Amino acid sequence: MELALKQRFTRIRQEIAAYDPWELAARLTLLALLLSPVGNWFIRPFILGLSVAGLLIPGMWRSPSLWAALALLTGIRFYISWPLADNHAYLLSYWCLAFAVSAWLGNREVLFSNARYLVALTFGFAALQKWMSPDYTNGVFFLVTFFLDERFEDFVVLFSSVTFEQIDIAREYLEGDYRSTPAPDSLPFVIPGSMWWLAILSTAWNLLEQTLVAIVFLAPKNSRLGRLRDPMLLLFCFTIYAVVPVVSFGWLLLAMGIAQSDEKSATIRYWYMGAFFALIFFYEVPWAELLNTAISG
Amino acid sequence: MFASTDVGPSRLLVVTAMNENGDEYTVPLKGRLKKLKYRARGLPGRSQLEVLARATWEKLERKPVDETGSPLASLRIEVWKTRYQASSLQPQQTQIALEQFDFRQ
Repeated sequence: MELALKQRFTRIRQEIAAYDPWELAARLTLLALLLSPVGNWFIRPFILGLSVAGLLIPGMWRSPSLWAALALLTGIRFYISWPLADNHAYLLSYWCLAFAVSAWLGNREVLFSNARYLVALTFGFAALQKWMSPDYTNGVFFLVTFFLDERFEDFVVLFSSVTFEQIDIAREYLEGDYRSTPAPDSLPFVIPGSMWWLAILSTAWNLLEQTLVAIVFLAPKNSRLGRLRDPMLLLFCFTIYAVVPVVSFGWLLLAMGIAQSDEKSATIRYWYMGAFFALIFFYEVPWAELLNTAISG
Repeated sequence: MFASTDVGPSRLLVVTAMNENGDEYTVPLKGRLKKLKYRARGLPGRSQLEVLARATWEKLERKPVDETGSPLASLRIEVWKTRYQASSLQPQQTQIALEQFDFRQ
């Protein structure tokens, strides 16, 4: 039994290692489109259908027409929801376009260099925006977000001494209508030190990590900094997507990571695949809620 | 990726209807109007606000909220953004758009 499992595991490792990075990135992108469907009712079925076709029909994943159609549909998606589309909606469309152009030209390097620059520019602009935003650098952004965004409620209660009741009170205060009368001077309770620390650490970690990812992806691949590309991107995905439930963005970054990674390094590829699977669990398992429930008895 | 507290949910968009008899009331925005509200709140230019105003006007003509029966005279849309003080988090709202619409023939 143990031997059979070991052999199966070795075979999976060999198959992952044997994958062409272009193919693996293409398959993961198609898989991400299936696992986290995008668009409204008249776009989504076509995107899903094309993704299924790309995965099931042999060789379809390298078709320029498939990727051009996906680029067009994902482009229509953000055009329809403009100006409200998330930034990764744009990134997905650019990424599909990079596949289309690369497949059309029959030049794998086009995809690999696009992967590198899309990651570098995404993180570069994200970091620049943070450095330039006074709300962000003084910690207010995370304090307000932790109180207002319901997705962080369990995380905040788990890692600070703030209670669910205090979050409700804070939400009522922060979201009030103060057009005619000014808001009371401060919250009805004192923000505990643990909450400040959580906000400050989150601010510093995000700022530092995103700046570093941008720098290492802009640096030449074989330079000392360039060799940190994969570890930095993987660290980002493992830490951020454990807390922020935007798994489709994470999968997109991982597909780009695989495309630009060293195709001779099987280990790096296992890590990217591992991160892809880990993100499924991060997204589906409400670990902070479960821990809160366990702690509160 | 996140960087600022000035995002859609922290903005306040209010549509006020004015009747010919001078009555004013805040219009509840539900269903399709809610979607248009989110769009106008994110990009509160004249054109986005007009799309919301026109849809609201049409809905109010079909299904008046006001019980006096007085015809609709105009709609006012205001958008406010919220900033938070660094140490106290005290919210301060600033008006970023104010438009008046009259679609009477």
